[in-house]
Amino acid sequence: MCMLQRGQITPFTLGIMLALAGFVILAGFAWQILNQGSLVDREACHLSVLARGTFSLSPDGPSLAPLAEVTPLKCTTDKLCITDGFFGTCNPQFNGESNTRRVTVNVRDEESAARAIERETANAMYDCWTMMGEGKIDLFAQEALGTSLVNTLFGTSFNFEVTKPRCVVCSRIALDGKTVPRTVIEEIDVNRYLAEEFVPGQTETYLQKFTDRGVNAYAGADKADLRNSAPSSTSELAIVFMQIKTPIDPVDAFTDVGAGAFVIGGGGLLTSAGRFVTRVGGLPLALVALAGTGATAGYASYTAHESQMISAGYCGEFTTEAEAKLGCSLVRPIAWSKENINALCGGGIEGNL
Amino acid sequence: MRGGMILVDNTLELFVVGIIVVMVFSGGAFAYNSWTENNEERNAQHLLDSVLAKHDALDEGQSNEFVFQGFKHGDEWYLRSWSNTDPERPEKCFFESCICVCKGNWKESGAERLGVRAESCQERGFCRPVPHSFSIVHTYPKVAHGLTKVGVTIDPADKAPEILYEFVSVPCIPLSELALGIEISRSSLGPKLSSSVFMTSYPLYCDYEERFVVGADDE
Repeated sequence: MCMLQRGQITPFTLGIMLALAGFVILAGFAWQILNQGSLVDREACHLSVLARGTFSLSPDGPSLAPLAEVTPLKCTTDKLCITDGFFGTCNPQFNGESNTRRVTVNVRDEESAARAIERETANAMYDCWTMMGEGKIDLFAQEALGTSLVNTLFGTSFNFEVTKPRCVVCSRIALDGKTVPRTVIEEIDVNRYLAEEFVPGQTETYLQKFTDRGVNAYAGADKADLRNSAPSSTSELAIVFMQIKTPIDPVDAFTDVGAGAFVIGGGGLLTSAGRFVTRVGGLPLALVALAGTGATAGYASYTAHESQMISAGYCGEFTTEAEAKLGCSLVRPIAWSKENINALCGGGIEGNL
Repeated sequence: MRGGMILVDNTLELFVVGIIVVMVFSGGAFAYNSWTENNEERNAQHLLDSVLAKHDALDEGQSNEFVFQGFKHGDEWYLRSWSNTDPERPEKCFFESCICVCKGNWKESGAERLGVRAESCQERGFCRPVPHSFSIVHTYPKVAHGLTKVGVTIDPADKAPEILYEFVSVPCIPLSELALGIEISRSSLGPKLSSSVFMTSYPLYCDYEERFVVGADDE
Protein backbone atom coordinates (compact mmCIF):
# COMPACT_ATOMS: atom_id res chain seq x y z
CA MET A 1 0.00 0.00 0.00
CA CYS A 2 1.36 3.35 -0.98
CA MET A 3 1.59 5.64 2.02
CA LEU A 4 1.28 9.36 1.46
CA GLN A 5 3.86 11.57 2.97
CA ARG A 6 2.87 14.63 4.99
CA GLY A 7 1.87 17.45 2.64
CA GLN A 8 1.18 15.17 -0.32
CA ILE A 9 -2.27 15.23 -1.90
CA THR A 10 -4.05 12.51 -3.81
CA PRO A 11 -5.00 12.98 -7.48
CA PHE A 12 -8.63 12.87 -6.39
CA THR A 13 -8.16 15.77 -3.97
CA LEU A 14 -6.23 17.68 -6.60
CA GLY A 15 -9.07 17.14 -9.03
CA ILE A 16 -11.56 18.40 -6.48
CA MET A 17 -9.48 21.48 -5.82
CA LEU A 18 -9.16 22.23 -9.52
CA ALA A 19 -12.89 21.73 -9.98
CA LEU A 20 -13.57 24.12 -7.12
CA ALA A 21 -11.19 26.69 -8.56
CA GLY A 22 -12.89 26.36 -11.94
CA PHE A 23 -16.28 26.73 -10.34
CA VAL A 24 -15.21 29.89 -8.52
CA ILE A 25 -13.82 31.39 -11.73
CA LEU A 26 -17.00 30.55 -13.66
CA ALA A 27 -19.18 31.86 -10.85
CA GLY A 28 -17.19 35.08 -10.83
CA PHE A 29 -17.65 35.43 -14.56
CA ALA A 30 -21.37 34.76 -14.29
CA TRP A 31 -21.61 37.24 -11.44
CA GLN A 32 -20.01 39.90 -13.61
CA ILE A 33 -22.46 39.26 -16.40
CA LEU A 34 -25.54 39.03 -14.25
CA ASN A 35 -24.79 42.02 -12.08
CA GLN A 36 -23.92 44.30 -14.89
CA GLY A 37 -21.03 46.41 -13.88
CA SER A 38 -21.00 49.62 -15.86
CA LEU A 39 -18.61 48.26 -18.48
CA VAL A 40 -20.51 45.06 -19.07
CA ASP A 41 -23.94 46.71 -19.26
CA ARG A 42 -24.03 46.71 -23.01
CA GLU A 43 -22.66 43.21 -23.29
CA ALA A 44 -25.13 41.88 -20.73
CA CYS A 45 -27.93 43.55 -22.65
CA HIS A 46 -26.76 42.17 -25.96
CA LEU A 47 -26.37 38.72 -24.43
CA SER A 48 -29.93 38.77 -23.15
CA VAL A 49 -31.16 39.98 -26.55
CA LEU A 50 -29.38 37.09 -28.21
CA ALA A 51 -30.83 34.70 -25.63
CA ARG A 52 -34.32 35.87 -26.45
CA GLY A 53 -33.61 35.64 -30.13
CA THR A 54 -32.32 32.11 -29.72
CA PHE A 55 -35.35 31.02 -27.77
CA SER A 56 -37.64 32.60 -30.38
CA LEU A 57 -36.14 30.26 -32.96
CA SER A 58 -37.10 26.65 -33.07
CA PRO A 59 -35.71 25.05 -36.20
CA ASP A 60 -36.76 21.45 -35.63
CA GLY A 61 -37.11 20.52 -32.00
CA PRO A 62 -39.74 21.49 -29.44
CA SER A 63 -40.70 25.13 -29.20
CA LEU A 64 -38.57 27.22 -26.89
CA ALA A 65 -40.72 30.33 -27.30
CA PRO A 66 -41.97 30.22 -23.67
CA LEU A 67 -38.36 30.51 -22.56
CA ALA A 68 -38.00 33.67 -24.61
CA GLU A 69 -40.91 35.13 -22.70
CA VAL A 70 -39.38 34.52 -19.29
CA THR A 71 -35.88 35.55 -20.26
CA PRO A 72 -35.61 39.10 -19.03
CA LEU A 73 -33.87 41.75 -21.04
CA LYS A 74 -30.87 42.73 -18.96
CA CYS A 75 -30.79 46.18 -20.48
CA THR A 76 -30.35 49.00 -18.02
CA THR A 77 -31.21 52.52 -19.06
CA ASP A 78 -28.01 54.49 -19.34
CA LYS A 79 -28.55 57.94 -17.86
CA LEU A 80 -26.18 60.45 -19.33
CA CYS A 81 -25.84 63.91 -17.88
CA ILE A 82 -24.11 66.44 -20.10
CA THR A 83 -22.74 69.28 -18.07
CA ASP A 84 -19.94 71.80 -17.79
CA GLY A 85 -17.99 71.51 -14.62
CA PHE A 86 -16.89 68.74 -12.36
CA PHE A 87 -19.76 69.08 -9.94
CA GLY A 88 -22.47 69.76 -12.50
CA THR A 89 -25.68 67.79 -12.09
CA CYS A 90 -28.74 67.26 -14.19
CA ASN A 91 -31.41 68.24 -11.75
CA PRO A 92 -34.29 67.80 -11.68
CA GLN A 93 -34.08 65.23 -14.50
CA PHE A 94 -31.84 62.73 -12.71
CA ASN A 95 -32.59 63.58 -9.10
CA GLY A 96 -32.28 60.40 -7.11
CA GLU A 97 -31.56 58.23 -10.14
CA SER A 98 -28.92 55.54 -10.19
CA ASN A 99 -26.81 54.41 -13.16
CA THR A 100 -26.07 57.99 -14.10
CA ARG A 101 -22.83 59.06 -15.68
CA ARG A 102 -21.57 62.52 -16.39
CA VAL A 103 -19.99 63.84 -19.56
CA THR A 104 -18.24 67.15 -19.15
CA VAL A 105 -18.15 69.57 -22.06
CA ASN A 106 -16.38 72.90 -22.28
CA VAL A 107 -19.15 75.37 -23.06
CA ARG A 108 -16.68 78.22 -23.56
CA ASP A 109 -15.93 76.56 -26.90
CA GLU A 110 -19.47 76.33 -28.18
CA GLU A 111 -18.65 74.39 -31.32
CA SER A 112 -16.68 71.65 -29.62
CA ALA A 113 -19.32 71.40 -26.89
CA ALA A 114 -22.03 70.97 -29.51
CA ARG A 115 -19.95 68.32 -31.31
CA ALA A 116 -19.44 66.46 -28.05
CA ILE A 117 -23.19 66.41 -27.40
CA GLU A 118 -23.80 65.25 -30.97
CA ARG A 119 -21.21 62.50 -30.52
CA GLU A 120 -22.75 61.25 -27.29
CA THR A 121 -26.22 61.23 -28.80
CA ALA A 122 -25.08 59.49 -31.98
CA ASN A 123 -23.17 56.88 -29.97
CA ALA A 124 -26.19 56.28 -27.76
CA MET A 125 -28.32 55.65 -30.84
CA TYR A 126 -25.73 53.40 -32.43
CA ASP A 127 -25.12 51.43 -29.22
CA CYS A 128 -28.84 50.94 -28.79
CA TRP A 129 -29.20 49.77 -32.36
CA THR A 130 -26.36 47.26 -32.16
CA MET A 131 -27.32 46.02 -28.68
CA MET A 132 -30.76 45.18 -29.96
CA GLY A 133 -29.45 43.12 -32.85
CA GLU A 134 -30.05 45.89 -35.39
CA GLY A 135 -33.75 45.34 -35.05
CA LYS A 136 -33.74 41.95 -36.74
CA ILE A 137 -34.31 39.85 -33.65
CA ASP A 138 -37.80 39.10 -32.43
CA LEU A 139 -37.62 40.44 -28.90
CA PHE A 140 -41.08 40.73 -27.52
CA ALA A 141 -43.85 38.24 -27.01
CA GLN A 142 -46.68 40.38 -28.17
CA GLU A 143 -50.40 40.16 -28.15
CA ALA A 144 -52.53 41.41 -30.98
CA LEU A 145 -53.61 44.99 -30.57
CA GLY A 146 -56.65 44.88 -32.80
CA THR A 147 -57.52 47.24 -35.57
CA SER A 148 -59.70 49.74 -33.75
CA LEU A 149 -57.09 50.88 -31.28
CA VAL A 150 -54.45 51.01 -34.00
CA ASN A 151 -56.68 53.22 -36.08
CA THR A 152 -57.29 55.46 -33.11
CA LEU A 153 -53.57 55.73 -32.44
CA PHE A 154 -52.50 56.40 -35.99
CA GLY A 155 -55.57 58.24 -37.20
CA THR A 156 -55.80 56.07 -40.26
CA SER A 157 -57.48 52.91 -41.42
CA PHE A 158 -55.59 49.69 -41.05
CA ASN A 159 -57.38 46.61 -42.24
CA PHE A 160 -55.15 44.18 -40.41
CA GLU A 161 -54.16 43.51 -36.86
CA VAL A 162 -50.79 44.56 -35.55
CA THR A 163 -49.31 43.97 -32.14
CA LYS A 164 -48.72 46.51 -29.44
CA PRO A 165 -45.35 48.17 -29.90
CA ARG A 166 -43.00 47.42 -27.02
CA CYS A 167 -39.89 49.32 -26.11
CA VAL A 168 -36.60 49.34 -24.33
CA VAL A 169 -35.37 52.74 -23.14
CA CYS A 170 -31.68 52.40 -23.97
CA SER A 171 -30.54 55.83 -22.78
CA ARG A 172 -31.73 59.06 -21.35
CA ILE A 173 -29.61 62.05 -22.19
CA ALA A 174 -30.12 65.20 -20.15
CA LEU A 175 -28.55 68.60 -20.52
CA ASP A 176 -27.60 70.44 -17.38
CA GLY A 177 -29.69 73.57 -17.77
CA LYS A 178 -27.54 75.49 -15.31
CA THR A 179 -24.29 75.13 -17.22
CA VAL A 180 -25.11 74.33 -20.86
CA PRO A 181 -26.24 77.59 -22.46
CA ARG A 182 -28.84 77.94 -25.16
CA THR A 183 -26.19 79.09 -27.64
CA VAL A 184 -24.57 75.66 -27.42
CA ILE A 185 -27.90 73.89 -27.71
CA GLU A 186 -28.68 75.81 -30.87
CA GLU A 187 -25.44 74.56 -32.44
CA ILE A 188 -26.41 70.91 -32.06
CA ASP A 189 -27.22 69.07 -35.29
CA VAL A 190 -27.25 65.35 -34.65
CA ASN A 191 -28.52 64.54 -38.15
CA ARG A 192 -25.51 66.13 -39.74
CA TYR A 193 -23.23 64.31 -37.33
CA LEU A 194 -24.83 60.96 -38.16
CA ALA A 195 -24.46 61.57 -41.89
CA GLU A 196 -20.88 62.89 -41.86
CA GLU A 197 -18.99 61.29 -39.00
CA PHE A 198 -17.58 57.79 -38.88
CA VAL A 199 -18.54 55.32 -36.21
CA PRO A 200 -15.48 55.04 -33.90
CA GLY A 201 -13.05 52.45 -35.22
CA GLN A 202 -14.96 51.94 -38.46
CA THR A 203 -14.90 53.26 -41.98
CA GLU A 204 -18.61 53.95 -42.32
CA THR A 205 -20.72 56.82 -41.09
CA TYR A 206 -23.46 56.29 -38.55
CA LEU A 207 -25.99 56.80 -41.33
CA GLN A 208 -24.34 54.16 -43.47
CA LYS A 209 -24.26 51.73 -40.57
CA PHE A 210 -27.96 52.32 -40.03
CA THR A 211 -28.69 51.76 -43.74
CA ASP A 212 -26.09 50.64 -46.25
CA ARG A 213 -22.93 52.08 -47.77
CA GLY A 214 -24.80 53.68 -50.65
CA VAL A 215 -26.76 56.05 -48.47
CA ASN A 216 -25.02 59.30 -47.74
CA ALA A 217 -27.64 62.01 -47.34
CA TYR A 218 -31.17 62.64 -46.26
CA ALA A 219 -33.98 63.17 -48.69
CA GLY A 220 -34.95 66.77 -49.26
CA ALA A 221 -38.58 65.83 -49.12
CA ASP A 222 -38.21 64.83 -45.52
CA LYS A 223 -36.69 68.14 -44.58
CA ALA A 224 -39.59 69.89 -46.22
CA ASP A 225 -41.93 67.76 -44.14
CA LEU A 226 -40.09 68.78 -41.04
CA ARG A 227 -40.51 72.45 -41.71
CA ASN A 228 -44.25 71.92 -41.49
CA SER A 229 -44.05 70.12 -38.20
CA ALA A 230 -44.79 71.68 -34.88
CA PRO A 231 -41.75 72.74 -32.87
CA SER A 232 -41.19 71.67 -29.31
CA SER A 233 -38.37 71.78 -26.84
CA THR A 234 -36.80 69.48 -24.32
CA SER A 235 -33.78 69.29 -22.07
CA GLU A 236 -33.88 65.50 -21.96
CA LEU A 237 -34.00 62.96 -24.72
CA ALA A 238 -34.69 59.27 -24.48
CA ILE A 239 -33.14 56.91 -26.99
CA VAL A 240 -35.87 54.32 -27.32
CA PHE A 241 -35.84 51.01 -29.14
CA MET A 242 -39.31 50.07 -30.31
CA GLN A 243 -40.51 46.90 -32.04
CA ILE A 244 -43.87 46.16 -33.57
CA LYS A 245 -44.99 43.10 -35.50
CA THR A 246 -47.43 42.76 -38.35
CA PRO A 247 -48.69 39.76 -40.30
CA ILE A 248 -48.18 41.53 -43.66
CA ASP A 249 -45.30 43.42 -45.27
CA PRO A 250 -44.72 46.28 -42.87
CA VAL A 251 -43.38 48.63 -45.52
CA ASP A 252 -46.54 48.26 -47.56
CA ALA A 253 -48.64 48.45 -44.48
CA PHE A 254 -47.20 51.59 -43.04
CA THR A 255 -46.40 53.53 -46.19
CA ASP A 256 -49.70 52.77 -47.88
CA VAL A 257 -51.76 54.06 -45.01
CA GLY A 258 -49.73 57.21 -44.56
CA ALA A 259 -48.24 56.32 -41.22
CA GLY A 260 -44.79 56.88 -42.66
CA ALA A 261 -43.91 59.55 -40.16
CA PHE A 262 -44.19 56.93 -37.48
CA VAL A 263 -41.99 54.28 -38.97
CA ILE A 264 -40.48 55.05 -42.30
CA GLY A 265 -40.81 58.71 -43.09
CA GLY A 266 -42.13 60.28 -46.21
CA GLY A 267 -39.43 60.22 -48.83
CA GLY A 268 -36.79 57.81 -47.64
CA LEU A 269 -33.15 58.54 -48.26
CA LEU A 270 -30.93 59.80 -51.02
CA THR A 271 -28.40 57.36 -52.39
CA SER A 272 -25.12 58.47 -53.90
CA ALA A 273 -26.90 58.27 -57.26
CA GLY A 274 -29.52 60.68 -56.01
CA ARG A 275 -32.33 58.14 -55.85
CA PHE A 276 -34.61 57.48 -52.98
CA VAL A 277 -34.09 54.25 -51.15
CA THR A 278 -36.90 52.55 -49.39
CA ARG A 279 -36.04 48.98 -50.29
CA VAL A 280 -32.76 47.36 -51.02
CA GLY A 281 -32.40 44.11 -52.94
CA GLY A 282 -36.12 43.50 -53.15
CA LEU A 283 -36.50 43.17 -49.41
CA PRO A 284 -37.23 45.88 -46.94
CA LEU A 285 -33.96 46.47 -45.17
CA ALA A 286 -32.61 49.05 -42.83
CA LEU A 287 -34.28 52.37 -43.15
CA VAL A 288 -33.70 55.73 -41.66
CA ALA A 289 -36.55 58.10 -41.21
CA LEU A 290 -36.62 61.75 -40.44
CA ALA A 291 -39.38 61.78 -37.93
CA GLY A 292 -41.88 64.39 -38.87
CA THR A 293 -43.73 64.99 -35.66
CA GLY A 294 -43.31 67.61 -33.02
CA ALA A 295 -42.98 64.92 -30.43
CA THR A 296 -39.72 63.78 -31.93
CA ALA A 297 -37.75 66.80 -30.98
CA GLY A 298 -34.06 67.42 -31.01
CA TYR A 299 -32.50 69.53 -28.32
CA ALA A 300 -32.77 72.67 -30.42
CA SER A 301 -35.98 71.98 -32.20
CA TYR A 302 -37.60 75.07 -30.83
CA THR A 303 -35.31 77.12 -33.01
CA ALA A 304 -34.54 74.86 -35.95
CA HIS A 305 -36.89 72.23 -37.27
CA GLU A 306 -34.08 70.72 -39.31
CA SER A 307 -32.47 69.70 -36.05
CA GLN A 308 -35.19 67.20 -35.37
CA MET A 309 -33.50 63.91 -35.29
CA ILE A 310 -33.74 60.86 -37.45
CA SER A 311 -34.89 57.45 -36.40
CA ALA A 312 -33.01 54.37 -37.46
CA GLY A 313 -35.20 51.45 -38.28
CA TYR A 314 -35.52 48.04 -39.81
CA CYS A 315 -38.65 46.76 -41.46
CA GLY A 316 -38.80 43.21 -42.63
CA GLU A 317 -38.78 39.64 -41.42
CA PHE A 318 -37.67 38.81 -37.92
CA THR A 319 -35.72 35.73 -36.97
CA THR A 320 -38.54 34.02 -35.12
CA GLU A 321 -40.89 31.07 -35.21
CA ALA A 322 -43.84 33.26 -34.25
CA GLU A 323 -46.78 33.59 -36.61
CA ALA A 324 -46.27 37.31 -37.01
CA LYS A 325 -42.79 37.31 -38.50
CA LEU A 326 -42.90 40.71 -40.08
CA GLY A 327 -42.59 44.05 -38.46
CA CYS A 328 -40.52 47.08 -37.80
CA SER A 329 -37.89 47.95 -35.25
CA LEU A 330 -36.89 51.48 -34.58
CA VAL A 331 -34.36 53.43 -32.57
CA ARG A 332 -35.87 56.79 -31.98
CA PRO A 333 -34.77 59.80 -29.97
CA ILE A 334 -37.78 61.38 -28.33
CA ALA A 335 -38.35 64.00 -25.70
CA TRP A 336 -38.65 62.33 -22.31
CA SER A 337 -42.28 62.73 -21.38
CA LYS A 338 -45.03 60.40 -20.32
CA GLU A 339 -47.13 61.26 -23.37
CA ASN A 340 -44.34 60.68 -25.90
CA ILE A 341 -43.14 57.43 -24.40
CA ASN A 342 -46.61 55.98 -24.04
CA ALA A 343 -47.60 57.03 -27.56
CA LEU A 344 -44.63 55.13 -28.94
CA CYS A 345 -44.63 52.16 -26.57
CA GLY A 346 -48.28 51.21 -26.17
CA GLY A 347 -47.40 47.62 -25.30
CA GLY A 348 -45.09 48.51 -22.45
CA ILE A 349 -41.46 49.00 -21.59
CA GLU A 350 -38.93 46.31 -20.78
CA GLY A 351 -35.48 46.47 -19.29
CA ASN A 352 -34.16 47.86 -16.06
CA LEU A 353 -34.62 51.37 -14.71
CA MET B 1 -16.40 -4.06 9.00
CA ARG B 2 -14.68 -3.77 5.63
CA GLY B 3 -17.54 -1.59 4.32
CA GLY B 4 -17.19 0.60 7.37
CA MET B 5 -13.49 1.06 6.67
CA ILE B 6 -14.22 2.09 3.09
CA LEU B 7 -16.72 4.65 4.39
CA VAL B 8 -14.21 6.04 6.86
CA ASP B 9 -11.46 6.19 4.23
CA ASN B 10 -13.69 8.14 1.83
CA THR B 11 -15.41 10.39 4.34
CA LEU B 12 -13.44 13.44 3.29
CA GLU B 13 -14.06 12.84 -0.39
CA LEU B 14 -17.78 12.28 0.18
CA PHE B 15 -17.95 15.44 2.24
CA VAL B 16 -16.21 17.48 -0.46
CA VAL B 17 -18.38 16.02 -3.20
CA GLY B 18 -21.46 16.83 -1.13
CA ILE B 19 -20.33 20.41 -0.73
CA ILE B 20 -19.68 20.71 -4.46
CA VAL B 21 -23.10 19.35 -5.31
CA VAL B 22 -24.73 21.82 -2.92
CA MET B 23 -22.64 24.69 -4.31
CA VAL B 24 -23.47 23.83 -7.91
CA PHE B 25 -27.19 23.56 -7.24
CA SER B 26 -27.38 26.68 -5.07
CA GLY B 27 -25.24 28.57 -7.59
CA GLY B 28 -27.57 27.50 -10.36
CA ALA B 29 -30.62 28.51 -8.36
CA PHE B 30 -29.03 31.85 -7.51
CA ALA B 31 -28.14 32.50 -11.14
CA TYR B 32 -31.64 31.57 -12.27
CA ASN B 33 -33.26 33.82 -9.68
CA SER B 34 -30.90 36.61 -10.51
CA TRP B 35 -31.72 36.17 -14.18
CA THR B 36 -35.49 36.22 -13.79
CA GLU B 37 -37.43 37.34 -10.74
CA ASN B 38 -35.01 39.84 -9.28
CA ASN B 39 -35.27 42.07 -12.33
CA GLU B 40 -38.85 42.91 -11.48
CA GLU B 41 -38.24 43.38 -7.78
CA ARG B 42 -35.15 45.45 -8.37
CA ASN B 43 -37.06 47.72 -10.72
CA ALA B 44 -39.85 48.15 -8.18
CA GLN B 45 -37.38 49.03 -5.43
CA HIS B 46 -35.52 51.35 -7.75
CA LEU B 47 -38.72 53.21 -8.56
CA LEU B 48 -39.58 53.58 -4.88
CA ASP B 49 -36.11 54.88 -4.08
CA SER B 50 -36.31 57.32 -7.00
CA VAL B 51 -39.61 58.68 -5.72
CA LEU B 52 -38.15 59.24 -2.26
CA ALA B 53 -34.95 60.80 -3.59
CA LYS B 54 -36.87 63.18 -5.80
CA HIS B 55 -39.08 64.14 -2.87
CA ASP B 56 -36.05 64.77 -0.68
CA ALA B 57 -34.52 66.97 -3.37
CA LEU B 58 -37.54 69.27 -3.43
CA ASP B 59 -37.60 72.42 -1.36
CA GLU B 60 -40.37 73.04 1.13
CA GLY B 61 -43.50 74.11 -0.74
CA GLN B 62 -42.24 72.78 -4.05
CA SER B 63 -44.13 70.44 -6.32
CA ASN B 64 -43.17 68.84 -9.60
CA GLU B 65 -44.38 66.10 -11.91
CA PHE B 66 -41.74 63.49 -12.65
CA VAL B 67 -41.80 60.82 -15.31
CA PHE B 68 -40.95 57.32 -14.13
CA GLN B 69 -40.09 54.53 -16.50
CA GLY B 70 -42.35 51.51 -16.40
CA PHE B 71 -41.06 47.97 -16.32
CA LYS B 72 -42.20 44.49 -17.25
CA HIS B 73 -44.97 43.31 -14.91
CA GLY B 74 -44.99 46.80 -13.41
CA ASP B 75 -48.78 46.73 -13.61
CA GLU B 76 -48.78 44.14 -10.84
CA TRP B 77 -47.21 46.56 -8.36
CA TYR B 78 -48.46 49.58 -6.48
CA LEU B 79 -47.23 52.33 -4.18
CA ARG B 80 -48.85 52.68 -0.78
CA SER B 81 -48.00 54.62 2.36
CA TRP B 82 -48.77 53.70 5.96
CA SER B 83 -48.93 55.87 9.02
CA ASN B 84 -47.24 54.78 12.22
CA THR B 85 -50.64 55.02 13.88
CA ASP B 86 -52.25 52.63 11.41
CA PRO B 87 -52.62 49.24 13.09
CA GLU B 88 -52.95 47.56 9.68
CA ARG B 89 -49.48 48.58 8.53
CA PRO B 90 -47.07 45.83 7.50
CA GLU B 91 -44.90 44.45 10.26
CA LYS B 92 -41.77 45.34 8.36
CA CYS B 93 -42.58 49.01 8.97
CA PHE B 94 -42.05 48.34 12.71
CA PHE B 95 -43.08 51.41 14.70
CA GLU B 96 -42.50 53.94 11.93
CA SER B 97 -44.48 55.45 9.13
CA CYS B 98 -43.43 53.95 5.84
CA ILE B 99 -43.95 53.97 2.13
CA CYS B 100 -44.00 50.66 0.31
CA VAL B 101 -44.01 49.29 -3.18
CA CYS B 102 -45.93 46.03 -3.12
CA LYS B 103 -46.94 43.34 -5.50
CA GLY B 104 -50.71 43.38 -5.79
CA ASN B 105 -53.13 40.52 -5.48
CA TRP B 106 -55.65 42.05 -7.79
CA LYS B 107 -56.31 38.77 -9.53
CA GLU B 108 -58.03 37.55 -6.43
CA SER B 109 -61.57 38.75 -6.14
CA GLY B 110 -64.07 39.97 -3.60
CA ALA B 111 -63.60 39.28 0.07
CA GLU B 112 -60.35 37.40 -0.50
CA ARG B 113 -58.76 40.71 -1.29
CA LEU B 114 -59.92 42.39 1.89
CA GLY B 115 -57.09 42.90 4.27
CA VAL B 116 -54.66 41.25 1.93
CA ARG B 117 -52.84 44.43 1.02
CA ALA B 118 -50.79 44.74 4.18
CA GLU B 119 -49.98 41.08 3.79
CA SER B 120 -48.85 41.54 0.22
CA CYS B 121 -46.62 44.42 1.32
CA GLN B 122 -45.26 42.28 4.10
CA GLU B 123 -44.63 39.26 1.92
CA ARG B 124 -43.86 40.70 -1.49
CA GLY B 125 -43.21 44.34 -0.84
CA PHE B 126 -40.37 46.68 -0.10
CA CYS B 127 -40.83 49.39 2.48
CA ARG B 128 -38.83 52.44 3.45
CA PRO B 129 -39.32 54.26 6.75
CA VAL B 130 -40.28 57.92 6.37
CA PRO B 131 -40.72 60.65 9.00
CA HIS B 132 -44.29 61.33 7.89
CA SER B 133 -46.56 59.06 5.90
CA PHE B 134 -47.17 60.16 2.33
CA SER B 135 -50.57 61.30 1.25
CA ILE B 136 -51.22 59.29 -1.92
CA VAL B 137 -53.98 60.07 -4.37
CA HIS B 138 -54.56 58.27 -7.64
CA THR B 139 -57.44 59.46 -9.78
CA TYR B 140 -59.06 57.49 -12.56
CA PRO B 141 -62.34 57.48 -14.48
CA LYS B 142 -64.83 55.12 -12.94
CA VAL B 143 -66.53 54.53 -16.27
CA ALA B 144 -63.44 52.79 -17.56
CA HIS B 145 -64.34 49.84 -15.38
CA GLY B 146 -67.88 49.74 -16.67
CA LEU B 147 -69.17 50.50 -13.21
CA THR B 148 -70.89 53.77 -13.87
CA LYS B 149 -71.40 55.80 -16.97
CA VAL B 150 -72.27 59.20 -15.64
CA GLY B 151 -73.71 60.69 -18.76
CA VAL B 152 -73.47 61.27 -22.47
CA THR B 153 -74.06 64.63 -24.10
CA ILE B 154 -74.25 65.58 -27.75
CA ASP B 155 -72.33 68.59 -28.96
CA PRO B 156 -74.81 70.44 -31.19
CA ALA B 157 -71.99 71.69 -33.42
CA ASP B 158 -70.73 68.36 -34.68
CA LYS B 159 -73.16 65.93 -33.10
CA ALA B 160 -70.22 64.06 -31.66
CA PRO B 161 -71.07 62.29 -28.44
CA GLU B 162 -69.10 63.36 -25.44
CA ILE B 163 -68.82 60.87 -22.64
CA LEU B 164 -68.66 62.34 -19.18
CA TYR B 165 -66.65 60.52 -16.59
CA GLU B 166 -66.90 60.44 -12.88
CA PHE B 167 -63.42 60.45 -11.45
CA VAL B 168 -62.70 58.64 -8.25
CA SER B 169 -59.59 58.65 -6.13
CA VAL B 170 -57.85 55.80 -4.36
CA PRO B 171 -55.03 55.93 -1.80
CA CYS B 172 -52.48 53.99 -3.78
CA ILE B 173 -50.73 54.43 -7.10
CA PRO B 174 -50.72 51.45 -9.45
CA LEU B 175 -47.48 51.16 -11.35
CA SER B 176 -47.38 50.35 -15.01
CA GLU B 177 -45.45 48.85 -17.87
CA LEU B 178 -45.71 52.26 -19.50
CA ALA B 179 -44.23 55.58 -18.46
CA LEU B 180 -45.84 56.93 -15.34
CA GLY B 181 -46.27 60.54 -14.29
CA ILE B 182 -46.27 61.15 -10.56
CA GLU B 183 -46.60 64.59 -9.04
CA ILE B 184 -44.49 64.84 -5.93
CA SER B 185 -45.17 67.61 -3.43
CA ARG B 186 -43.32 68.67 -0.35
CA SER B 187 -45.15 70.99 1.98
CA SER B 188 -45.73 71.72 5.62
CA LEU B 189 -48.87 69.58 5.40
CA GLY B 190 -46.70 66.58 4.63
CA PRO B 191 -45.39 64.75 1.61
CA LYS B 192 -47.81 63.93 -1.17
CA LEU B 193 -47.80 61.78 -4.30
CA SER B 194 -50.51 62.10 -6.88
CA SER B 195 -51.14 60.63 -10.28
CA SER B 196 -54.03 60.27 -12.62
CA VAL B 197 -55.03 58.39 -15.72
CA PHE B 198 -57.72 59.35 -18.16
CA MET B 199 -58.36 55.89 -19.50
CA THR B 200 -57.43 52.57 -18.07
CA SER B 201 -58.11 49.14 -19.39
CA TYR B 202 -56.62 47.11 -16.58
CA PRO B 203 -58.27 46.22 -13.28
CA LEU B 204 -57.25 48.56 -10.52
CA TYR B 205 -56.38 46.40 -7.59
CA CYS B 206 -55.88 49.49 -5.47
CA ASP B 207 -59.55 50.24 -5.34
CA TYR B 208 -61.06 47.29 -3.61
CA GLU B 209 -61.79 49.32 -0.48
CA GLU B 210 -63.55 51.88 -2.60
CA ARG B 211 -65.71 49.21 -4.21
CA PHE B 212 -66.36 47.61 -0.88
CA VAL B 213 -67.49 50.91 0.62
CA VAL B 214 -69.76 51.54 -2.35
CA GLY B 215 -71.26 48.10 -1.91
CA ALA B 216 -71.80 48.70 1.79
CA ASP B 217 -73.47 52.03 1.11
CA ASP B 218 -75.79 50.40 -1.39
CA GLU B 219 -76.96 48.03 1.24
